[in-house]
Amino acid sequence: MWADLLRRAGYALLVILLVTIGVQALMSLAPGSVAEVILGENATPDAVAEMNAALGYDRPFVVQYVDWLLAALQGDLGTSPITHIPVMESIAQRLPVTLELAVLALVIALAVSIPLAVLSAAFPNSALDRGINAVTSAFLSIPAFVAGPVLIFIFAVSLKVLPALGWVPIEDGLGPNLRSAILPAIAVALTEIAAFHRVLRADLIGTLREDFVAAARAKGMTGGYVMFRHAFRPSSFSLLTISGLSLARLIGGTIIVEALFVLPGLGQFISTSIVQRDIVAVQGVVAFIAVGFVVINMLVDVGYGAIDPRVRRTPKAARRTRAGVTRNATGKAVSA
Amino acid sequence: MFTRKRSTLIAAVAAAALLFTGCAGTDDGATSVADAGSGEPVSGGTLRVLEMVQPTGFDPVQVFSSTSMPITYTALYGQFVIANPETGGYDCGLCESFTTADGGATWDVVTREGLTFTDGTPFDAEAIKYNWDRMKDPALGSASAGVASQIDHIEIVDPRTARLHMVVPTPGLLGLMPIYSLQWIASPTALEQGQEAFNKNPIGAGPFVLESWTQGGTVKLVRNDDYAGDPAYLDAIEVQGVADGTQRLNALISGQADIVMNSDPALFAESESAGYVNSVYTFNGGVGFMFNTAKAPFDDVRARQALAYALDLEAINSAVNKGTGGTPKTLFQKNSPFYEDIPLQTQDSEKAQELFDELAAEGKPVEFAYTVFPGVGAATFDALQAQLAEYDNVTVTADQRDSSEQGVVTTTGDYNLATSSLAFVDPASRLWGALSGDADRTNYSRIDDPELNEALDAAVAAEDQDAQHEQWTLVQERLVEVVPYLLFQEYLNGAISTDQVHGIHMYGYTTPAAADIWIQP
Repeated sequence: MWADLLRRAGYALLVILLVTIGVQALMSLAPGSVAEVILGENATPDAVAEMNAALGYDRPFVVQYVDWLLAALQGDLGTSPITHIPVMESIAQRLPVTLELAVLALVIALAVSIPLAVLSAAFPNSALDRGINAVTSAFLSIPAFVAGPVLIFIFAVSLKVLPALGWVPIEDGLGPNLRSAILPAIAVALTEIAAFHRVLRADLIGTLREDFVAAARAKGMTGGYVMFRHAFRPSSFSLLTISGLSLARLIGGTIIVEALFVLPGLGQFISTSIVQRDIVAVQGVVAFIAVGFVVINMLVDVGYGAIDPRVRRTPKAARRTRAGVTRNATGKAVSA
Repeated sequence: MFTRKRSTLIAAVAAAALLFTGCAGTDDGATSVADAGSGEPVSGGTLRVLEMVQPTGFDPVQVFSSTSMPITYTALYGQFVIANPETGGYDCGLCESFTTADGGATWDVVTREGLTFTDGTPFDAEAIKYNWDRMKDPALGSASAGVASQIDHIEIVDPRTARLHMVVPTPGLLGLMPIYSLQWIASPTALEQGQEAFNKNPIGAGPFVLESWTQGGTVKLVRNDDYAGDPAYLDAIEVQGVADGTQRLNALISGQADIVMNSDPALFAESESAGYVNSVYTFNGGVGFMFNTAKAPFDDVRARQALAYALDLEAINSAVNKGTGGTPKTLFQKNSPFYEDIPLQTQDSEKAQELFDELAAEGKPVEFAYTVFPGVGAATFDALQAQLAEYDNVTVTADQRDSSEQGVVTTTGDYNLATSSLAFVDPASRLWGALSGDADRTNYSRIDDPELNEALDAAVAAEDQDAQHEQWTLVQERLVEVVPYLLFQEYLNGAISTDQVHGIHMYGYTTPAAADIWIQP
């Protein structure tokens, strides 16, 4: 187990290094520079060169990266030359917003998709199932940048029941906080609902065809009891996997929604920083998100063990489970 | 009701008054134009504002444009000088006087007796010198460094008087003050703490002080009861920066905001139909195509004239602004004392084709690149290309650039044709700076025409309004002949508000001022 964890940590480190190198390379290749942004209409070539030198951007790529990495390993992600605020401080101020948005979106997606998937699986290929599939397919085809303005038009502009933009911190009251978070969370959650529904529906239908489910039914157990006591748990591996990945992705993937709803989160920070060519801020936030992503990924893997004790035995078993295959004690595949 | 009120009270816009009188101190610190409200002001309340950009900080060297965050910055720093639409000159806000006796070679800035910043330190000549010297520091990268660098050095005459020795005589200096961040004077003691500390606790001498700031979120300001001017009406102001105009209007409609800043004509049209109050100032000049007159093909005046004859500028404006907004017909707005009915452009497709053919026959076909910046750049290019496709011997291609490159493109002249602003309130400052061959730092079209230079210098030097009018008329006539710009869009500075918000005085840059605004309960 320890060897497996070390192996995973090694992969995680490699991912983080590659991501941060990639970000620095992309920002270096992009046209413009932070000096040009800062200097504005005074951005003569000499002034730009002088400022870039003062900020250390005239040094070789490798030297810049290694310096950044060494500082980052000590917890210093640098200070933005635009805002003059340490990046770590900006992340700390903005992370709760993004985290709450991501968690809320995930909760909404699960709360909607699980009942829909259970209904679909209970009546497969029925009119109800096809209707639910049609609705979730529609959700899947509505990106957040379309869903957001539509939600704003309906609930803020027309009905005037929810705010069109802005964020109320949770310290100012849970009610106002949720009012400011609900529309962006729904905009983010829509596509997740579709994905969650499809995965859980397929797994439930597969599980409900297993022998042990037929045996339970033969004993006279009710449909609901069989669904939730026998079928749901072994069918939730894939859902757990994509939920974990979704959470990790949403932490760095709510850029459009945060920009649209003017939420002071990491997404807005990174989009603003990219426009301003603020390489220090972009590098810092991306590194932070990459670390978050791999950590959540590892937690998801560990989470398999909590759901299915058989997975704890060997890494190989975990890999097989992730591939959607669980096996009974004799090694026979029992669901797919 | 739509109350598009332009600067109806403008009586004179500048130059002579600047030459010898500068500005005199006033206590009320308020001008009156394009006021969206009336009645007796009422104190109290919290104003919810949406400005066009989010602050990256409050240090004056970080401020990029004074049209995008007028309420936040006038709240924190007050108004050092105030453009007066009734006189066309400038009044002192936080200064006692700001005068020149030698045509702008030197300026004496006198601060108010006993004026202090909100940290209790003196707002004196040393503070002026500290702020403006600091703005020139290349390491701090102020967008106003170019203007600050027009001051050679600052001499402390006495504790309240700073004498500015200009690099070259700058009679239009006062007109530049409301445009650039020279007007925001911060406490040197607070600035000494470093930018990170200052941004958490910015210290000015304005009618409000910062209560809190969430990065990317809300700026909360509360009234400064020790303000040197008349106390502000509002108890507090909450400001958010929202770049998307539609979202700003959505927030106003949904009841989340009381006032939103705007410069987009399409949004003014939408807000009008939604029943909100528009307070709009239309600048003289406008926004349009800027030729690089120092580089082929537009170093030949015939190439510029050919485009002037060829293009339907109203159609370009319509394409860019979804059929809303106006196209400037003359250099000055009709309410300006310098207005003359001299059309900026006369469309004539036959003459255009003759010139294109003539240049091609000489081996100088009009082949050029239009510099496309993100935003409306692509729509502008499409409209330009579509119109020129009707002609022979003219070719336009797109030169796609990043928005961060705008400064470098114009300062280096690495362009043929680009979109730029020739908007101004006071012609003695901005117009002279954009068109005079002597104003090399701000003359981005690089036009250097002796006749135009002479008329510009004479207009700035003229002492009475008739003489100024005569010279500005010559400038307008010459401008049509040498065509450094083709303006297709009026430049607006405005606010959209509910009918409960009053005291919105729009005039030029950095308006409305926070201290003037009040809310009807």
